[in-house]
Amino acid sequence: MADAEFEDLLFAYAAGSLDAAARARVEAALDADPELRRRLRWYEAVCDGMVARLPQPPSLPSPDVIVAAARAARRNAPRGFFAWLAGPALRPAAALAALLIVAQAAIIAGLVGERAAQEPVRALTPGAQSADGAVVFVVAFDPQATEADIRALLLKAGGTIIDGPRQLGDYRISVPANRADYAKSLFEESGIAEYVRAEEAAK
Amino acid sequence: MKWGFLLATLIAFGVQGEERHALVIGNAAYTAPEPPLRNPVNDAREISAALKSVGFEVRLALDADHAAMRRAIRAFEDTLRRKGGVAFFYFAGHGLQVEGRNYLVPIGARLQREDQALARAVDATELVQRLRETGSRLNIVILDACRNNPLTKQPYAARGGSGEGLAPVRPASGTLVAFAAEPGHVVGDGTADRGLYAKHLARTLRVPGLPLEQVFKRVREAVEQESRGRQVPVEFSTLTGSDFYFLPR
Repeated sequence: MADAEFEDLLFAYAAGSLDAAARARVEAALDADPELRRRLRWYEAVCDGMVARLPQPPSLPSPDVIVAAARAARRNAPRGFFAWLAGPALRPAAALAALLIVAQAAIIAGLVGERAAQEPVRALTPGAQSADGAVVFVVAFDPQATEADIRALLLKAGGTIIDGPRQLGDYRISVPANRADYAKSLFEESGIAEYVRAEEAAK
Repeated sequence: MKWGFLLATLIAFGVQGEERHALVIGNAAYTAPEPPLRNPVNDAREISAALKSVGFEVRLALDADHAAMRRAIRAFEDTLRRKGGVAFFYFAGHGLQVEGRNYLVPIGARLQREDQALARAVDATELVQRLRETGSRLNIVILDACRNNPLTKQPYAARGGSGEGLAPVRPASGTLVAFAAEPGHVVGDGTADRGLYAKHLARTLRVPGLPLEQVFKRVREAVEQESRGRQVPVEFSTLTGSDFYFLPR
């Protein structure tokens, strides 16, 4: 069986739409090939709408590409796998996958909007403001702070580590200018940052 | 007495008319596995007094653990960023080199392996760079930390190319780094109540009319002579431009 054809079969397996004989073939191949099992996990994540939780393997198409390809195939080629995908057996699964992708996009857009709306727009002075309007803070975390604590704080502040750690534990963290005051308060009151300073603009 | 102090202060304050800031750290009360030292606290006090007498604003940290050293260094950097001028850093205590970098050992570091120095000691090489980044005009860094490496007696100490004494440095521009002994050599803790290097440095930097480089030459001569050649202080310098005087004539 050609690779592309087996890939289609694998996706259908992940969608739970194969008959017993085809399922057995796929499972035999999965038993023998760890890379295939990794790709199956990706397709299962697509089908479960959990794409955001997994890093996408670079060699695999994104879910919207898969759905777009399925639609194009249904229009242009009435025979073959995509016709089968669009057929009565798989139509509910494909529709579900598309629905999940749309829902996921809506949730992400909502979260982004919520984050932007959390704090009023205020400028921090003084502070180094880069060309893209970000303010850079130097923050040194307590050596006892966990990676999870730091990650949660950065997410809340909307900060991105751009440099560090230096030997004394300093990081340079970029924060959008309109969240700089909010981020500074968060850092200072976090209980895990032993030093916070807005970096001076270059003279 | 009062008038003498006032006069000294006025002279010192007027020296070269620029900001002078110092951070002086003396660590002596080490606990196992680092052996305690006798003199670094006395040495730090003596250097601190000498610097104050020539117009430095001094921050003194004695028997500082890692957190205290971090706080002191950051506060020092903040001052330099705000005020600029001349920066003077002095450390007396245990130091060690690991893979060509020098580390200053805080109290309570409890170093069992050399790689722990990265997290539990202060990287002097990076410290020199950090001082440079504050924008200070001139940085003078004194490492009176060439005592025996507390790890060299451990069976794993030879790994990573480490050894006794400190490693040579290439200071950032506008910086002078001075060691109390040659790289790779150690100094004793002293038999009296203070170290040889600190004694002569504190004395010499008060001599009027000596440019910075001359101060260190004189200290080297005095230390080498008194130790009968066993201890030879060295400096690494990237200074340019006009001379700096601790105390002008």
